[in-house]
Amino acid sequence: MSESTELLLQTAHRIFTDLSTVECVNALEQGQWAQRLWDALDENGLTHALLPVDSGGSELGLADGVALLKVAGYHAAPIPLAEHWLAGLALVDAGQPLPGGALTIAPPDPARRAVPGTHRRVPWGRSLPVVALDGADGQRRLKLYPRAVVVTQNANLAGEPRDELDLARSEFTLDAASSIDAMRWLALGALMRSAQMAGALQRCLALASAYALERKQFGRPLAAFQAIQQELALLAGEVAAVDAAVDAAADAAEAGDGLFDIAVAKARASMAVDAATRIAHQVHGAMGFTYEHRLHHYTKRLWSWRDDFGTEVYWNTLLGRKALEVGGDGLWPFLTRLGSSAAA
Amino acid sequence: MSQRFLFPHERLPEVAETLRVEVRAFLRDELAAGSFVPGSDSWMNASPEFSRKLGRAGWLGMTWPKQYGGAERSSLERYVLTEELLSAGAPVGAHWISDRQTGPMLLRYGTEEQRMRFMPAIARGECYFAIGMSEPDAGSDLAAVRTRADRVDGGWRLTGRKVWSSFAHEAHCMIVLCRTSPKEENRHAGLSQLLVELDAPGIEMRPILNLAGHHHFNEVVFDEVFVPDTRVVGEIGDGWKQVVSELAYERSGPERFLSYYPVLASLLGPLAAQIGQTNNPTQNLADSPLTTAVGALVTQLATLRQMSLSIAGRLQAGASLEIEAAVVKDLGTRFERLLPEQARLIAASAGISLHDGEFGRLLAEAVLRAPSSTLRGGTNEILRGAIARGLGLR
Repeated sequence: MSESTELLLQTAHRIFTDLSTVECVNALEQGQWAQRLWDALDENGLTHALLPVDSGGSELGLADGVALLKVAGYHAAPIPLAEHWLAGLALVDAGQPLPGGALTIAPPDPARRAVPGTHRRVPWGRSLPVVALDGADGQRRLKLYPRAVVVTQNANLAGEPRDELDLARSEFTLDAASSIDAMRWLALGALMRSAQMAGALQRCLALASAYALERKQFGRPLAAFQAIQQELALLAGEVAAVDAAVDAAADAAEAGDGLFDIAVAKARASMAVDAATRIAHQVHGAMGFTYEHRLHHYTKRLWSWRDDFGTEVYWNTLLGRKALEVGGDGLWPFLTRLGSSAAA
Repeated sequence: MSQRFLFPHERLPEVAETLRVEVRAFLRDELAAGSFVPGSDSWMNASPEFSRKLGRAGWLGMTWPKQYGGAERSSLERYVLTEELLSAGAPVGAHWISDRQTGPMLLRYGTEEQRMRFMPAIARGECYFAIGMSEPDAGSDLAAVRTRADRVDGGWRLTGRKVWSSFAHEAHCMIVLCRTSPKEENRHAGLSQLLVELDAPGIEMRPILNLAGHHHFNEVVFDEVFVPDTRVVGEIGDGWKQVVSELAYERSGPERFLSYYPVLASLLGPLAAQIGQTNNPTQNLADSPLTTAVGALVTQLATLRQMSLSIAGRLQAGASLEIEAAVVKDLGTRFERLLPEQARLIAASAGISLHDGEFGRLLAEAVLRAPSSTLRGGTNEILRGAIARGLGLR
């Protein structure tokens, strides 16, 4: 990691610590947009960090972007930074200028359940301009909807807006040919969400460890009990595994396609959620089940994010199909190509 | 952000990928020649002949300096060799301990004479070592060892009993952890490591059969065995520190998650065939929960491999990574318990026989071997205790 990236991460950490507060994250659940937080990120160049320099960005690679999103996840940042980056990357890819302010995307739906034109569970769809991919691969159009028609306002378990939009009835101001392929978009989304998950998992571990050291029962801190130590060690293992899978995927996606590395990362991250949140809550006891304690900012996000951009079932199925396709003799060569730019 | 165990992504250098191609060609030839039958848990299968072949190829002790028989290659190259051998189920048990552990230890703590005497022979695949740590009353609590060495003229007289020593009956030497001064308040003080040649007078060996009735383990009894001063490894009294420094090598390698990989590989052929035969158009087996279950194993395997690689890369740079290694071993060996059980369920769901063919054979082997995965080299409970210490909980 370069010195400038290190500096950027420190800046992000400081901004999130100051502005992604308990009150701010709770306010999101009441429908409040975190303008101060967004402005601070914008002023420090973080909202455009992944974009090329001539689009006002600092041309951060995916690996550095992923490192930044881990910090955002660690602070449960109540803003769609990943979505904004994905929208920006798609616009730049199509050679289009970026409108000012935050953007969101209509995420590709891997299960293709939605009626054409309607998009379900669009993050912050009610309030932000939406960038969407339209049409079949090969003749894909990138469209920008400044104010999409909202069918229903919904939210995920963490209170992040997830709205159903009717883009067929919405006006668009941009309709450009796009070379970006829906699968790549989905994969980049999965990678970014996995990074946020890695950060949130890390915070669960930090909160649970701190609580175990501070909370006393039977005259001893919880951390003194082997039963608690064993559970927290298991949690640490899940956190480390997700972190490693995400880093490997980011590296592979920066160097090349990295689709299967991303599949591993998103699947591993989603697979970790059940055990990790169970342990974090168990260690916190009843205190962690209250609204007052901020553990729920992380666990609710993890329960939601595991479903975004493909569940573990979606990505594991992709990997399982690949395994069956390459067969017993081909699986090992496939596995050893992961983590390198040659993965395919 | 707070305390965390880091596993930065390690990309393999080109030279390691070149080696991979060579190793695969070698294994293909060996398999074609029938020199081995792929096994589950193959680092517990010993074939001195196979070990000598690896030695001749320059693949044992390959990271060591040339003057000690090594090839001065990187630990990432060794990693690639190791994962290729294990995934192919090759019988690497004879040299396993000496190549993984003994050589690096002699390089770090041994005398020049010890290195010259043993390391080139290890690298040729001709000299095998056994581990002499556990005792009847010292398992997880290793510092409780009672095997004792008393000072005598020109050396030490060793008395005690070691158990679970894999392949001691095929090994030439053993590194024995013993007490060289009485127990004090600091239980880790007063321990030392002695290099004992197993043909010395006063040594008796008895097999301890494992649950499958196979002879891997031994009980080795030392009755006033004379060990010359020249066979003390490192410093007298430093045994504990030396043992602990071996752990990162012992605990983070691919043998902690690849032991039953051949079971998964052998499942894919029959599974693909079953899926191809399914004519029911309403049920697309290719996207069935079975495919997903295979994918979940792939996901875990790929993740563990990245973690293990990350450690291998940094061990090379001299980092101290005992806690990270404990994380890999805990996750990896729990995965080793999971893999055969999942493979069995997948096979049964797909209507594949659990008892026939290559898959049935490897599965049966794996089921009988798997209980040791989460025991050998430190139980998972002990590992998690170490991780908890790393988290600052104790």
